[in-house]
Amino acid sequence: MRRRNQRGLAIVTFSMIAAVMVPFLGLTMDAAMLCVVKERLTTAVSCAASAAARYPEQGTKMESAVHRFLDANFPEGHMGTGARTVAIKGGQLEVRVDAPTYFMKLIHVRSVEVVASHSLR
Amino acid sequence: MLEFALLTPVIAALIIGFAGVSITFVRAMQADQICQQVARMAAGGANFDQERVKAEIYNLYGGKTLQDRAGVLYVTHIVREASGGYRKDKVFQFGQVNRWPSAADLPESVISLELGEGAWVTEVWFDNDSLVSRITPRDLHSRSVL
Repeated sequence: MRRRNQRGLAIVTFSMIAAVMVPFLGLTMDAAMLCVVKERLTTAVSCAASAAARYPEQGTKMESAVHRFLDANFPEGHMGTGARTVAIKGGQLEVRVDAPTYFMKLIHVRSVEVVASHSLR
Repeated sequence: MLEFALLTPVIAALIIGFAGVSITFVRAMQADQICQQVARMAAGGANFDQERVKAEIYNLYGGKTLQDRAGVLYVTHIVREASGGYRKDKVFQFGQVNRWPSAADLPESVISLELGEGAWVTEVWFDNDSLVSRITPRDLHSRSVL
């Protein structure tokens, strides 16, 4: 037979477990979203680098190919990301985007910078 | 006992929700990976009419979904002709072709090409019907242009 002082034990236990589990699940989901953004950006950069390799002399044609293939594979704002920064330096293509967070906003982390790079050779 | 009876649905909903989102994440990764690998195969000159190449695709991570016809794969080569118009040069498709559309049906909406330039457009659609399809997308889509 349950004693009077055991009443509500399940709610207290659940609240304690939830206090740990819910932020953990939130962080896991944010991490998963960031993984998808990173993976798609890496693929887009790799495709853009392959397209740029068709124009070996670095110039406007090569830059145009980079931007056109990036737009096709990872357009600006894709998956809620912020402005895209594209840099072509020393035979290397580097793209940066700010990926939004959903649960990490609670700890004032509104976005995380995701970077992908690929050689143009 | 009553507290447990009340809390069980909440805990079950949390577990089912998390499982649904996890499955969606795994399927999205599968769709992305199959898309990029097929795009590389296409750019490398693979002939998708060959049974050996089809078997290779079915053996990729996520390929079983295509084999079970719970998804579709479109591989299209588009070219921009000297006249300025876009043309579909080669088209390969596997899986449930009638359920999902191919963006390459309107090539100029996929990518802006230079005159005489070509590109491989690989698209994958996966069915994501699950217990939590009300909160997760019903269809998963991935596209790679190479």
